[in-house]
Amino acid sequence: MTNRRLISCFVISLLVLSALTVACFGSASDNTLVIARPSDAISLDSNQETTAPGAWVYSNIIEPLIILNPDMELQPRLATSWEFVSDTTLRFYLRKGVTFHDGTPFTAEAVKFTFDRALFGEPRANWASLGADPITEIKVIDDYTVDIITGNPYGPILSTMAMVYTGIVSPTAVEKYGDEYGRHPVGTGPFKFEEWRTRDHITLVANENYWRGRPALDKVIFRVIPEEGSRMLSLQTGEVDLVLNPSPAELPAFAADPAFNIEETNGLRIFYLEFNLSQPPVDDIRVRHAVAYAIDKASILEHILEGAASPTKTSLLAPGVFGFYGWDTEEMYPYDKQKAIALLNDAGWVDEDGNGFVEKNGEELVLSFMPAKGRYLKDIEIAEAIQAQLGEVGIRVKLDIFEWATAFSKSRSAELPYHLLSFGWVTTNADADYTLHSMFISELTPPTGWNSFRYVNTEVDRLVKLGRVTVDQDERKEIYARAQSLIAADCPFVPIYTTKEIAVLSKDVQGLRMHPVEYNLDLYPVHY
Amino acid sequence: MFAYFSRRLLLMIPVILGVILVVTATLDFIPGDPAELLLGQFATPESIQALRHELNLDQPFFIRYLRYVGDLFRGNLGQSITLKRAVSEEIMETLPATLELTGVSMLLVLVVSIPLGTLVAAKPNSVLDNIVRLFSLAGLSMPVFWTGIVLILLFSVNFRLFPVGGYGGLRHLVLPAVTLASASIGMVTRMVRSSVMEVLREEYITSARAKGLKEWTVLFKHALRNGLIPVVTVLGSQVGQMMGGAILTESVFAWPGLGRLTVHAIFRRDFVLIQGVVVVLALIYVLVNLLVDLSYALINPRISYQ
Amino acid sequence: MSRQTKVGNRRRMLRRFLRNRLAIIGMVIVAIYIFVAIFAPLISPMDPLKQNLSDKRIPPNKTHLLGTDQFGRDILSRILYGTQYALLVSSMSILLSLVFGTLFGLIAGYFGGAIDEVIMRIMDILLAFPYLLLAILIVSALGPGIWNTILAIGIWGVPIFARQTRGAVIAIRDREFIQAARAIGAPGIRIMAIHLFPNIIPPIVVYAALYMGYAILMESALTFLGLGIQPPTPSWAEMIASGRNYVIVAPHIATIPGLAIMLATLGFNLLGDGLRDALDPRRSM
Repeated sequence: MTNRRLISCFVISLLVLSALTVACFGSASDNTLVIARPSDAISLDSNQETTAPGAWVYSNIIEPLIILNPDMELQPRLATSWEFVSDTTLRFYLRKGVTFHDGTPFTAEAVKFTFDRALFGEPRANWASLGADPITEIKVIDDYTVDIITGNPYGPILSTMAMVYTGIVSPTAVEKYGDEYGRHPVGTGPFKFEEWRTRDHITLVANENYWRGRPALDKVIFRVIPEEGSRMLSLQTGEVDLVLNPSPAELPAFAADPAFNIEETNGLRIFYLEFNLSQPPVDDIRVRHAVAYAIDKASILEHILEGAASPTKTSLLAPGVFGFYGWDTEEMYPYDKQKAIALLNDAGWVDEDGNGFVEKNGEELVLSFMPAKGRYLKDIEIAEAIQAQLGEVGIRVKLDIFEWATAFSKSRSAELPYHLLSFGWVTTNADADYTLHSMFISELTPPTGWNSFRYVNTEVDRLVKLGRVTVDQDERKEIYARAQSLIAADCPFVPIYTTKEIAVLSKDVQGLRMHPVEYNLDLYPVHY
Repeated sequence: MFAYFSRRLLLMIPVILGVILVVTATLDFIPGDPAELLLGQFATPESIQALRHELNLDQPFFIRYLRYVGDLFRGNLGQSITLKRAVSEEIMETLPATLELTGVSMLLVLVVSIPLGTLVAAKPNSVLDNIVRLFSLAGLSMPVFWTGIVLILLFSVNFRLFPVGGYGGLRHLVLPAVTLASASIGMVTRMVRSSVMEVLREEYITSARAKGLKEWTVLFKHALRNGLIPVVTVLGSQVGQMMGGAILTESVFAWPGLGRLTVHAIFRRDFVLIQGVVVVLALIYVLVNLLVDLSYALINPRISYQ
Repeated sequence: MSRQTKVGNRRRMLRRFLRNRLAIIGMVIVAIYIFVAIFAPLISPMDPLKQNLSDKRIPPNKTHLLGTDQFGRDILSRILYGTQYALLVSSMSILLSLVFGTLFGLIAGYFGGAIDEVIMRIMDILLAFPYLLLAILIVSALGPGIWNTILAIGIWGVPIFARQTRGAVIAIRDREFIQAARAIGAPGIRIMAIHLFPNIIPPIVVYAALYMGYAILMESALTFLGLGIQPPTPSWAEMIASGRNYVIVAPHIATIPGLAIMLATLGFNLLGDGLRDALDPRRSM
């Protein structure tokens, strides 16, 4: 009798538990869009967060004066028109009748406040050094007119002003929240911030008073689902409606499934293997070339990226960027193990002891590789593949894996004891100067600049600096073409893939157009 | 009783101080200047110096340690380098999710282990006993993160019964709680079995049986109550087990609790956050052990006189 | 205790152990794992590091008995080689726990007094950390790597061995014949050692076997969280961690290595249990 009573208690409690479970079917209201992405934002303040997890969200909360549409054309946003009143002064005429989510009216003062805070505040915005350095002053002419003044003529000024980071923030909100503003963003955009459960989800609601008219969606929830397999599964079960950074292995299945659509466009981000030219022996161009020939890029694109990314050109600029010049990487560095080995032998590295790895003067060729993990599509898998491929030509690669943000800050320090790194780079304002100036100017090495290659080429320096102050766009194209040819020949990096901005969505979600610059996730036109 | 309690409490203090010392000293090994990291790469040397002074970074280790302890008792755990907000705030926001998960898991463990362990204690070496024994051993040999992945495969992918992860209602809680509980159920069942068996051997049980009391009463009223003592101890130690298990379970199920915060802090080398989280978790653990000792003494008053 | 009784005891323990079926199973499993670890290069069908991208994610078939992973590497070979790393790290960790734990326990037990208090407080502090947290703390501070992992796992076992040893030392220390021996002037240490070891060794062996299981699980946990060894060394937990991405299209990558971990842990647990039962049958579980 004891046993039976016991067992029945047990069974009853299990039944109760399962009943409660099945009963709880919390489903979102029909006009809510649930988006799954791999990681959470660090902050919703564009000054602090320049990467996608945050930008995807705040690009719907704040708005810049002008934007680049998916066809890469400049369009007015909070500004209605603009003109150059001089070589160094760009004047914007602002839209009237716009208010921030907290009721503050939008005026030129807010523009000045936003830019002063970002460029001259303490600390400066992260994006200040990404193309906004030449800006020296913001002048308020009247309530709806504002001047952007640069020290010298600055070719890329318009594309810089179109970056999502330059979205105008409410001065009232910044004053009210101070340091906590990043968790309570307030702008003029189609959606308002509602809540943020760290590492779980961020909720936005429609801005009823949006100046273009209320968006079709009532609510947007950005969820965090780190594993790509889980993201796809949530889409399948209907838990989410849209997946960013989908799993390449499952794309074919979803493409074939009529219940889902795939939105994609060619992206502007290049994922590349980077050489640290201050660390021998990668300062020897033959070793760099050997590495380039040893990497089977086609295999990586086919079997690791599985069609979710495109092949590259020889430049760190993508073909959609203004001033791009390059040719197929496969043409310049086809996969050729024999050639790689020959180059190594040429440089003095030979496998004397027959262990499969090359030595010179008794020392084995060991390259230390610090790949970034968890940020770019298949970044770690590609690093492991490269390790194996370089091993096949006799180069031993030692991996030191760090989570992306840590790797990123390590790469920004003055001392970098690694031969190889891997990163992705996007030309956010789609102008060649953005990348060429930040990354290839000899003196702009970390921590001041972004030239982590420690690349030194005085001719490239001259060309890039010239291109920055030239105003004629055709002239600039020529200048940049010359610079990119020189850089390609010097091989400070091996490009691996160009991103495709891909989203997988349930077929009911309409109106989404992917933008080549990934940060611009425009949810305003989306509807069911 | 009160004397016992206060003595134990006093003994706890050097242990807590020691824990904080170990954590602070260990994290000293991580390279990097917190002030510089907090302000970002464009900060001026002056502002870095000022923040260093504010954070006591220009002081020798022992002063820093003492100041940290002082701050800790006032509830200030410092500013997270990567999250740019107060560590205490972040912990307060994430702790409830973990408490929810571990609470439900603990409940599951109790609901399954106690009746099951008692049952097989009454019938040692029976078929049921051997089956339970095998399952228990298998259960505590399974890496908890793997259990989670297998459960996801079975119940989320195959049967579509539960979501893959994330925070939500009861549905989101089931798989993570079962996963976390699985790591402890085996151990606790065996503990219950052995301690109940031990009690059953005692003389007063035989005499109770001789008096003619029903088996049910013998088993539950006498054996279990006395057998509970070591079980309470085991539960206390399982809390520590669960904290580790929670870190793994929360990773597998993307559960936004303290475990995932710990993982985030470690990956991002945010040593201010690591320090805060580890100290808080260790403190909770010490507290739980104290409570276990206390209830131990309550169940068996003879202990408090030792 | 007469020599005959001691020999008789040992025979009885051995017989008890051999009668315990589960213990035998455990011993066999452990033996198999040790065999695999030693002879992995000989019995492994393929090179565990060789990538073959076009053969990625093949489910188990005739060529690849356990299938291939996302890089086309043979999973069976990686599992066999993974034994080396798993057993190496766990046994080194236990060794560290054992050596330092016993040392501290001996010192604390023999000298007593203030030294005992200090050592025991330090042990208390170590025990105050939930098991994984201390290991995570150490590895995140010192960086990943095999020696740091061994240190992180080993440290956690030190208090346990210390307590055990200290208890045994104290039990012996105060016995009359020791005091008598001291009174005569005979070196107490030597006599203690003779009587100490039979009391210490059995529980140490039992704990060592049991905690091998724990060490394997701890190392898996650390590696799963990304705090373990760097690629391309085959490691079961790393295979599970990276296989998670493909759990829908190729579940075998993440699930099979877990069985390897589970079986290894189970083997050591059964062995440890059997040893404990053989030594002290009253405490049978």
